[in-house]
Amino acid sequence: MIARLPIWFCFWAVIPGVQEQAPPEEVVRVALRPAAAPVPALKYQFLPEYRNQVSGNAVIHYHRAGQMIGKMPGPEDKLWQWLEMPSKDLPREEGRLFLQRYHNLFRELELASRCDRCDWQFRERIRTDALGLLLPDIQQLREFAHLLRLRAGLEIADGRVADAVRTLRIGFAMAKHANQSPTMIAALVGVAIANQMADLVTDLIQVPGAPNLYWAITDLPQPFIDLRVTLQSERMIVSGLFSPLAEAGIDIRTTPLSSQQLQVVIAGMGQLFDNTHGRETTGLRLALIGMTAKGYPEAKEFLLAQGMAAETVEAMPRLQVVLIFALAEYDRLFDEMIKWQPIPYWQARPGMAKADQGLREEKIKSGELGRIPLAAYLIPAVQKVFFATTRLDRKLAALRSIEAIRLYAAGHDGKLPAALSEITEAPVPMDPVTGKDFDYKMEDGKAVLSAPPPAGEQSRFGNYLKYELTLTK
Amino acid sequence: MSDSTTDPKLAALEKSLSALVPAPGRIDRDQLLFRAGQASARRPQRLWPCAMALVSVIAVGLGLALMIRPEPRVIERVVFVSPESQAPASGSTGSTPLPNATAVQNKTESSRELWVSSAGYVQQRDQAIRWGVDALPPSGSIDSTAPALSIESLLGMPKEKLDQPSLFPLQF
Repeated sequence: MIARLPIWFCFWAVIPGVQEQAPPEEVVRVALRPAAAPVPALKYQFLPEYRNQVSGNAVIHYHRAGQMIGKMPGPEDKLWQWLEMPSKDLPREEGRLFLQRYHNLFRELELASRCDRCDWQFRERIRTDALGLLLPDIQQLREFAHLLRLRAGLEIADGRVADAVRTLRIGFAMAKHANQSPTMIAALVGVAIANQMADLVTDLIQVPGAPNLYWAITDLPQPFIDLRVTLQSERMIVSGLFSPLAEAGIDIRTTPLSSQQLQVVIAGMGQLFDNTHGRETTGLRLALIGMTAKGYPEAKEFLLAQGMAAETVEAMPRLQVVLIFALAEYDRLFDEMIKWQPIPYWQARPGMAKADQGLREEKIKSGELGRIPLAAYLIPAVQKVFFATTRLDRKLAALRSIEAIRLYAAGHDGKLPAALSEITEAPVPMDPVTGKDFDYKMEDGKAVLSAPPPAGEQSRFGNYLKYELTLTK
Repeated sequence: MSDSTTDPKLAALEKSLSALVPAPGRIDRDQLLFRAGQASARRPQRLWPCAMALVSVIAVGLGLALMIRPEPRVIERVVFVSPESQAPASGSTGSTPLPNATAVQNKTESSRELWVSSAGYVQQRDQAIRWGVDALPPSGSIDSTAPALSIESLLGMPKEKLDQPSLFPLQF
């Protein structure tokens, strides 16, 4: 027995490590009932239809709602526990009492959802003071979304389908409105809100008598979050660094700067990199001197190769030459990254991964070669943001597939299809992450609809989907 | 010289004693000493060899575990620190100013930290991408009273100084 102890000891030491490697699989269990499409098909919609919209700027209503929300409950409050619960388990009476105080706030949110535009007035602010930009109103949308989530959850628990659809419509509209703020943070807030609403759709379709929401989900924009303007606005951050010169009509890429103007450039850089918050820039200046000395030959060669006249290059302060090269590198690497955005994720992924690798290498190189690391520190992890938006689209596509299965079951005596290809009632969407059909198989009378992690990635929370579907009549 | 006795009994005893042949002892001295030594020694113990073997195996086991187990999971926690809580620290630094040369040297040494962007938007954006929007501070915690950085403050110049057209000698 004693001789076996060391062996057991070794197992005990190793097993926890093995367990960490394989996290438990997250399976969403969904109990469905067959349901044909409603008539008319778009009886239920998750975004306000044009005829129901009003002219106006939704931001005004969001600001009013922000005035009404007061202080959100602290982290120990029951609200946060409720938000983790499935809708059916919510304490209905207590929840309703809690939400009573937000009656007027919900009214404002509904009015906001019906507005035909949502102009956050951020374009000029980004142009001038992008780096100091505060986004309290965008972040407040998250708090509104929590309250909407609770309200929709209670409506689902009560079986009030039409009311729940109405609340979800407010939430989806709010997610789209967040996306109309041209910042990456806002786009991610939009993704988070839409994900919350999509999870509630999963609860909603399980309610007895729930209508088939295939066409309601299909009616949502694809992709739901549009990154085009978001990514373009990121570039404005760099130009915002030198906004005083730009406002004076000076293009630092072409016009030789005076020493005073150069001080403005240094101060602009100070906003970005110096941890002294502008109190003094000695460290920054020392670093710039070092980088200018080291990086000038390469930068000068680059500008001459670009066709800039030698006299112009010579007339420029050396720091300006190095800075122009850094800006050109920023543009090159940024374009390499964002050019993939309009392409479907599964096609764009290899190219984005390559661009991401290029950016990582630039981080190392900028340190070694003494380059000003504008690109290295200002270009965001676009690939991750692109995946976050595509993951939302994947979830919506999976929900569409589940609703397509319900359509099939309604026409086939309440039976699950043996394969997705058997469904002819409506097109079954493909997985936006892989560009292929969702995996679908029957196991012990249950259907399993799943989507794998992206190629080359291990399973981790959020990068795969698995639904276990059971059908009851 | 002869000590012969006249007592016949004694003579007989003498005779019989002289007839005795010395017999070798049945006790082997060497064997006796060996046995005595052996008896004096305690029975050989297996405890220490066993303990040593056990410890060796455990050490090898732990070494293997260390080699083959995955990287420890990094638990990242976002801690929001209000500017007020940082103020005393900077204040204490300010009360004992470093000589200029030392300050410059320290700055140079910490140039690596210098290139970590301190800009609020960039920090929050990267935080949201990495950990999700839940990692962002709640809207109420945004310090709207903090003065926005101006170019003048960054240059250590009086406010509105840059509005003077003389700063830009080039004519447009």
